[in-house]
Amino acid sequence: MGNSHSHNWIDPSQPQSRLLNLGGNKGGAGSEGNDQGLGWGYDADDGMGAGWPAGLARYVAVAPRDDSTSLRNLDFEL
Amino acid sequence: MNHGEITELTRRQMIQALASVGMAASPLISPLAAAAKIVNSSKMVAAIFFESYATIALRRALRYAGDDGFVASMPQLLHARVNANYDNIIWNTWFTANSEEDVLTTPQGNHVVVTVHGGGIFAKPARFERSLRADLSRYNSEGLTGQYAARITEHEARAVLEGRRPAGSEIAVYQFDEFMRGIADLPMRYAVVLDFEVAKKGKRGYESFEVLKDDPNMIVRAGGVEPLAAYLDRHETVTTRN
Repeated sequence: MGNSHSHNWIDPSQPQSRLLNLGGNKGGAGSEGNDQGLGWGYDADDGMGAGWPAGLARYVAVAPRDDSTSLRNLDFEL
Repeated sequence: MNHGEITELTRRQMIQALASVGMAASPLISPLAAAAKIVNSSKMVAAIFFESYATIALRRALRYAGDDGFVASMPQLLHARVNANYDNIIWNTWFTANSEEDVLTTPQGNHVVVTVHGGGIFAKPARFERSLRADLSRYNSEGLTGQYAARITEHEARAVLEGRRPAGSEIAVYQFDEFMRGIADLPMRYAVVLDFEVAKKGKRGYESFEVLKDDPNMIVRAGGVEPLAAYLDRHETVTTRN
């Protein structure tokens, strides 16, 4: 599984921040490492890293919701 | 916490629940019973907010979470994975955690990595926006570093070390050694301070699960020794089936 940090090449005297991100790609099963039997790739893509999101971001938010107002559990089948 | 089984309400919760549906006191049902019925009918529901612009994604997530919800931190995302089927989307795409890693210098002159779970300096979209749209001049204290991290000010760094959040609330700050031993009743929002040299020696790249279980960066990011072990064990279980 992959793990990533950039502490080896940064200047720690410069205060700085990165957001944590979590990989996810079917356990890396679709990555080229798996396909080529390189010993990496498989299990690699569910690891953790840190970076600064220039554009894309995918958050999960959790909040109380009233099930009775949602379409999710309604029965539409005739 | 199972929010579907709330039976005791505070007066504030009762008023909020009644106000949320515009219900006034009725002679047929007590306000407390009415509020309990409303609160008990709701449960915690998760939603994904994916955008091509990070500020908008965070803003939408925070709006959905409201006062009674939260935007998931890294330990919360891992917890969800541990309890989810491997076919669930939580396993099969990447996520941005509501967690940040701040590198800063303590008043004693030590370089440290402070990991904040649940929203730290970048808890609010406005601060996010300032970095995303920053003048990239090296003299701008809120721009980006050469290694593409967001610069933070000395004032922000000091506030993080003292557990002060931009919103005005305070969070617990744990030293790594203390965190390693386990924290009873760990709050949802907290920070962990790890010595920079220790963090620097942490594993990078692809490692076996057993090695990763002892890695300080992984432990802090995952929210502790036990949550990390649970995630790695679960990961091993679900991926070795393929």
